[in-house]
Amino acid sequence: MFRDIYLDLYYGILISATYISLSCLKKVDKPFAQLCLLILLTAINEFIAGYLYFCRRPNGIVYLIFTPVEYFIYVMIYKIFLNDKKWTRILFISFACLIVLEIVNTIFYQRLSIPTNIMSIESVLLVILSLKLFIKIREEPVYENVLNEGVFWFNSAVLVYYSFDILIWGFHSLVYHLKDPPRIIYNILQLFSGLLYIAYASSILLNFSAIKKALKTG
Amino acid sequence: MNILLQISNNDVAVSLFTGLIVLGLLFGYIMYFLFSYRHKQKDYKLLQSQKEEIDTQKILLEKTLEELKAAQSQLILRERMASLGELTTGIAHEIQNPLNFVNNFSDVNKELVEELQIELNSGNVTEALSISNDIKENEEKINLHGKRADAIVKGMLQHSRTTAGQKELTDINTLADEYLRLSYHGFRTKDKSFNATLLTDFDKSLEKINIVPQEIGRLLLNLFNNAFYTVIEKMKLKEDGYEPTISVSTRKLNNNVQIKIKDNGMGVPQKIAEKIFQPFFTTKPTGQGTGLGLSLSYDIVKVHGGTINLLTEEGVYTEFIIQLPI
Repeated sequence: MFRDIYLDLYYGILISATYISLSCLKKVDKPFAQLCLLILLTAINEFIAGYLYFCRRPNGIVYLIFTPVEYFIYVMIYKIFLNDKKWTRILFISFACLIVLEIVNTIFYQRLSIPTNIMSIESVLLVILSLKLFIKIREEPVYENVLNEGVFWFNSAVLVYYSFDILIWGFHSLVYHLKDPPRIIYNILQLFSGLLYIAYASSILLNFSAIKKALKTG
Repeated sequence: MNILLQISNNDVAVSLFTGLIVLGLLFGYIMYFLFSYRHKQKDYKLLQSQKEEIDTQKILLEKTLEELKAAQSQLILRERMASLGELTTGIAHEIQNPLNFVNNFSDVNKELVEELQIELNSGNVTEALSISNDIKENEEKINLHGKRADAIVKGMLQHSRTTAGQKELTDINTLADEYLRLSYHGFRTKDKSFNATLLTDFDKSLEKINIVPQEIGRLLLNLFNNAFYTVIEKMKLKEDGYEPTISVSTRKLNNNVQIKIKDNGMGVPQKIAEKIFQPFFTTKPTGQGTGLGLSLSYDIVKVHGGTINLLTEEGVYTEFIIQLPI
């Protein structure tokens, strides 16, 4: 399971982020609690997938289940952040479409392998949502210092990571069938995944400290 | 496989380059977001402070509006009470007549009862029966005039009522006639020498119409009071052969009742004719008019879904034409 430094780094960060998520789950605002849940589920998913890979058994089924679950949690998070009836409708419609596409993809294209097609579509949707949230934050600049806000780091992480995800899965579709595919792209993916969970954990901690501060000042 | 490997090697370089460009673009976007956020935040803070200022002003305005509404209600009440005061003298005169009848007939009955007792003592039953019939007739007359006085007092109470009354079928001719006489007697009580010709031309075919009688009563009283006021003002000019005349007529026009109230007083100058229905506009000297009479009259007509129009010629006549839907 632990084959190289990138993977070790990724798992290390994920374990740390999971620990922070478990510690802060009940002490943060609702969208950040959902983010904690997402990190927790990701950790479970990654360890099951890693274990299956270690046992040389196909692990595509794990991602087949996890991808829609992950997107649903993002839908719930963005529903709260965007706080707009029209966008709530769009979010749920996009989730329904993703489910339909995943069924079609599983039947016709990627039966037991990792559903990279669906992961790419999910990434596109998340990039759109993060851009929309940036626009919303800019339209209503209520935060005194946006750099101290968990929502800013969460959204920046989503935008950067999922933009790269599109490129990575695109590249993956070109090289995955090769006998010896270039490792660098997967190392970059692990590096970015690690950075994503650092950003997520930071946003949770920022929200936690903001709540703590607010409670102290009464 | 070799071709595929070649493609993949090229693609690694292209992909890394593309990745760097994308990373630069994303970093640029986030920097742009932070810069524009700070810029917007300044505008937002300014907007917020302006909004707070507007909200404070709004609260102040709302408070002022409430105070104005309360003052308006007070003024309307005062106007009603003022018109009630003007009405009181007329009412006193109107009540005096039935009271005189009641007193006179009760005096007569007292004497008749004494006569009846004498006749009964002397055993003259036929005469006693005749006297008792007279007493009965007198009692009926006392009852009739008592009811008349009762109706006048009830009308006065209705007039002073502050809550909105209910619509009811009302004989507009009777209402106009009653208020014309009340207003006239009110002015006559103030000035015993005042005499005016009252001309009424009521459409007998008019059926009862659905109105709030105390409201329409107020409207008519305002117009009659104005009419009497203006003819008195004209009398003060002592023009030869001037005979103050107030005329009231009613007509049925399609689905409307038309009431015309005309006086041959001072008339209304053309330049102020448009303003007379405005609240607080008055031509009367300070302390004599609130300037709300015609404004309230206008509101009453509008509430009833009708119209009120003015025809006038300065120094010759004033005529108000009211149309109320049946």
